[in-house]
Amino acid sequence: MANIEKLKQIAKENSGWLEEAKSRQKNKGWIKHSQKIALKVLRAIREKGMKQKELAFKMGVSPQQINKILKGKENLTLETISKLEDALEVKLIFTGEEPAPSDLQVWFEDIMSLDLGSFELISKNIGFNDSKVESYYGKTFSMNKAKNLEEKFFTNKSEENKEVEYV
Amino acid sequence: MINCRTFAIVNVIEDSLFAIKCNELDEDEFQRIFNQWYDIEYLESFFEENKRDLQRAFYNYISVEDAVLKTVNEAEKLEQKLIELATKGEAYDEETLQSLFKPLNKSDESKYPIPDLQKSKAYGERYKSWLRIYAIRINENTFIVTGGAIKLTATMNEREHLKAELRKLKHIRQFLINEQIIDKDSLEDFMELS
Repeated sequence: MANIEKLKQIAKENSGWLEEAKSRQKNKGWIKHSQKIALKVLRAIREKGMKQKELAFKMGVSPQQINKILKGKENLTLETISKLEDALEVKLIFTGEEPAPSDLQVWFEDIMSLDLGSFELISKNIGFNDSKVESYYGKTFSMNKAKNLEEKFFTNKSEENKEVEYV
Repeated sequence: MINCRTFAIVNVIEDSLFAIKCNELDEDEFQRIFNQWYDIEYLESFFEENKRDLQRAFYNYISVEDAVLKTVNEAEKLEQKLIELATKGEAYDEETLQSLFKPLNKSDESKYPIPDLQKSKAYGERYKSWLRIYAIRINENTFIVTGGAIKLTATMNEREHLKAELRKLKHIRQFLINEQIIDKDSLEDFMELS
């Protein structure tokens, strides 16, 4: 037979959960953004083999601040997001002015299919540095794949390729 | 790993849901579970460590990133339901605490095999979340939450963090028996919510 009365006597305090849960529900919108940014940052530092302390140093903030950001519960300022983008050389938010990744991807694949040259040459010609192009293609076009394509194009070509200037 | 040898009991939902609060920690287990499921750093690290478990047809070979986002989405839905229960006594889809908690041993696949995703669709069951809340049932309407976890394997014995939850359940059950809150003959008192 269960002794609920004794249980109620023992349970003197209330859980802190409900208040926190209601707050999460209320701030659902920006919390979602914060979570997605934190996740992108975590994956970026993992890929780069960067420690949180290094990122903090690059951004000129404390490691504690980085740790808070990575939990995905911070209401990040635009300034902080920009600093993250610069430190990691990845795009974290899109405001509609840059070409959307899907547009660049289509363009890139057209060029590759025309057999015009290597990843490096293309990067230079579209005015982006390698890592910026790569950040647009994070998932769809990794550096390994790019290097493979680069090898493919260079090994298939003769001397004539070296003389050609692509504009 | 926290063993929670000494603890207090707190109220979550009046008279029906309680939770333990390990003396080593600032948060009670109910708070801690949800804070963990919304902690992107914890989740990314957890799924990266347990990547092998994700690389199965059962999970559609989900990536670490997608697993993290799936977890926060599911935690949000579950929490929403629990907020409604806490504030109105009933979730909008009419689920109650009693209907949310199921006996633990019935989910142990070594005894009762869970159909995989394909079979689930055939049987018309909804795909189970990998979030788990563990509790001891005191009576039909009263539960004490002892902890929670992300369960990616069929049984609890396959992973350290799940074994730790099982140890907590046993330890707290013994306490409740010693305090004569439940008696040792009660069967099926280990519960899980998913």
